[in-house]
Amino acid sequence: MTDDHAKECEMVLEHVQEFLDNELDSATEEAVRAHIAICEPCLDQAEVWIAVKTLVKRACTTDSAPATLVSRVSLRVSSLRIDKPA
Amino acid sequence: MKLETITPEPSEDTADLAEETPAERDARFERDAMPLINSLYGAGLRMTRNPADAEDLVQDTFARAYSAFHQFTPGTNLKAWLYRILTNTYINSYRKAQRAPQISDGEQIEDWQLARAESHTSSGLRSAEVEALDGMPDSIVTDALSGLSDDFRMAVLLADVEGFSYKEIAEIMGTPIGTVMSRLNRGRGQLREKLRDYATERGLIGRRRNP
Repeated sequence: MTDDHAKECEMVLEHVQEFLDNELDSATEEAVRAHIAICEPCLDQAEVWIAVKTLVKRACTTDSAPATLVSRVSLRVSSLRIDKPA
Repeated sequence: MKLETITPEPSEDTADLAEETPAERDARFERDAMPLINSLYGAGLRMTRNPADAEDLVQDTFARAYSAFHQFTPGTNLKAWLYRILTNTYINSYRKAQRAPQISDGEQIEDWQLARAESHTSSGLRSAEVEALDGMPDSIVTDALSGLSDDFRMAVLLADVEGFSYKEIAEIMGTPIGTVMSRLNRGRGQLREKLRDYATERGLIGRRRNP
């Protein structure tokens, strides 16, 4: 592994989460993408972060508000109405 | 943190606020804000870590949002606006009552940097790690998330569950974008560590750093 390659790995690992979050400027994004395409260890790292992100989403999207909460919130909001009948 | 500092973005869906009657505004609140109650409850549940507090938090959030709804610019991101109120309400009223976070938001950059440093020396582990992550029970993940500090957990949830951009998270949490990035990197890094430890203990992946 060359020094240049190692430096690139360091850059990629520093930015890989931003890369996966679509938050990089296009030049850096291209550099990360090009490196990951030829570097298996960096690809492995990217895959782990994808798995972490996916897992958090999967584990946390099942909660829905109890029906009683919906009516309590509606009542609370109604009580604040300024145009409610006297 | 002021509610009206959420950056307006132009949109065609702009109500004429000057002409709007209170009844029309109520209808708009009912139509646009109320359907987001499930997302906000889910987020509240993960902030407070118990259903009763989450319900109180969501009630207070909607009451505040309703009272401040005239400040919301129609056509801008209502979900981000509501999350900001949720986060503010949580920080102001609930956080003090909770036990202290297990991990402080101090200058612990090492965990992320260590993860980075070891990443090229433990070859052959990653695909096993990804497999272990894919099979991880939801309850283990939510437990691991509960173990993160409030700031780290919120950043991770806002990004990965709600899909907010760094800029939106910065506005919701009232911090610079650099802080959001650091909280995300470190929060996900700690989460990864916790889940890897769980998988290692159960023999799902090999022990680390075998020479």
